[in-house]
Amino acid sequence: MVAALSARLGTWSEAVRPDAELIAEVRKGNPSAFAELAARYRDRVERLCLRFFSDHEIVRDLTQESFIRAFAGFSTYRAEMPFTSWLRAIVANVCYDELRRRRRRPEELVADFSSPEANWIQLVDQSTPEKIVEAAEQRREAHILAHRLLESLRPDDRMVMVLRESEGLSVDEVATIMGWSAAKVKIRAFRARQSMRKLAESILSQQRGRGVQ
Amino acid sequence: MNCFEARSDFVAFWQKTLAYERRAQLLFHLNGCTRCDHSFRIFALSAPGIYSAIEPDWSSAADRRPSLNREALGPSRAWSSAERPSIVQMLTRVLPAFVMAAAAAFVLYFAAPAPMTFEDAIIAGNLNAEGATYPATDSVFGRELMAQDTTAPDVSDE
Repeated sequence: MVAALSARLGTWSEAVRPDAELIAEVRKGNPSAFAELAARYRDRVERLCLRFFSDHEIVRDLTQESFIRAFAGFSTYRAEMPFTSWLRAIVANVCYDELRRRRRRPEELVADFSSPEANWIQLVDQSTPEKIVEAAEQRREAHILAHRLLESLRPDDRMVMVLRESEGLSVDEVATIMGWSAAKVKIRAFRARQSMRKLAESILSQQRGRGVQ
Repeated sequence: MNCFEARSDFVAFWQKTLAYERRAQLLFHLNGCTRCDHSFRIFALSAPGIYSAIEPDWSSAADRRPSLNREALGPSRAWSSAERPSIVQMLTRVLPAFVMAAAAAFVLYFAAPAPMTFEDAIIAGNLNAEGATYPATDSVFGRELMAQDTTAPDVSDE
């Protein structure tokens, strides 16, 4: 009875091993401890990647790439900083590299709209704010169009936009992750918002032009 | 509520975290302010990509089996030994096809009449030499033997 209980407790304590313990094991050269860490943070890593890329296949690849880089560079991790921050910086840089690799011209991205996208734009233009918020949750095209808008940004701007707005990081945190100055982060954030606004305005005015015709 | 306050509430409104009273004030303001209303519509075009919860995997949602979500349970594909096919698993997958192919080749090899040279027939004491064939790649030694052996039957008639 006691043995069974202790075995059960042992299993339980193993199931909720703290990060620090796992990190110490990884440092000792135990890759299975890293696998456990990866399992623990996989969802968060994927969520961050999904902020940059809407294609789930790409996201899975980037998640894998992030963990590979994390494992390869584990010696650079310092225990005094939170593991999540260190991992987030790696994921952000993996996504940044991919964004730069996939850079496309803005005009390619917002030239034509599919019929569902056009319907969504029309809804945004004509419905009440409450209806827009409700509909956005249900409509895939809302996400697709938003991603297209984001894709039109320069990789630097997009990084700042996602890290600042979606992840809610401070200017200093973004600066640390990207290895930039705080001033550069602020400038990029300002320009990102401006270009998003310009693009969204042109889409809405196109829609209104069509409505008038 | 002024325009600045209204615009700073856009994100909370989008994420439905705005208090009821504040939400009512915002909607009232948007109803009366065309500039803020326009700003909200511009905001709404990009908000699903920035402020909404991460969208579901629409493409694979229909294909996904409801019984077991291995991705949710298991660790990353990069590290999961359960998801990554092991060498044994790969071999068991590949081996049946390989064994079948090898067995087929084996059967074909032994079922087909062996290309018997005339000298083989002599060594084996098989006088039924009509079946002996001389492939084009026959050895020089074989040709020499045939040239010398006058008892060799002329198979060209057949």
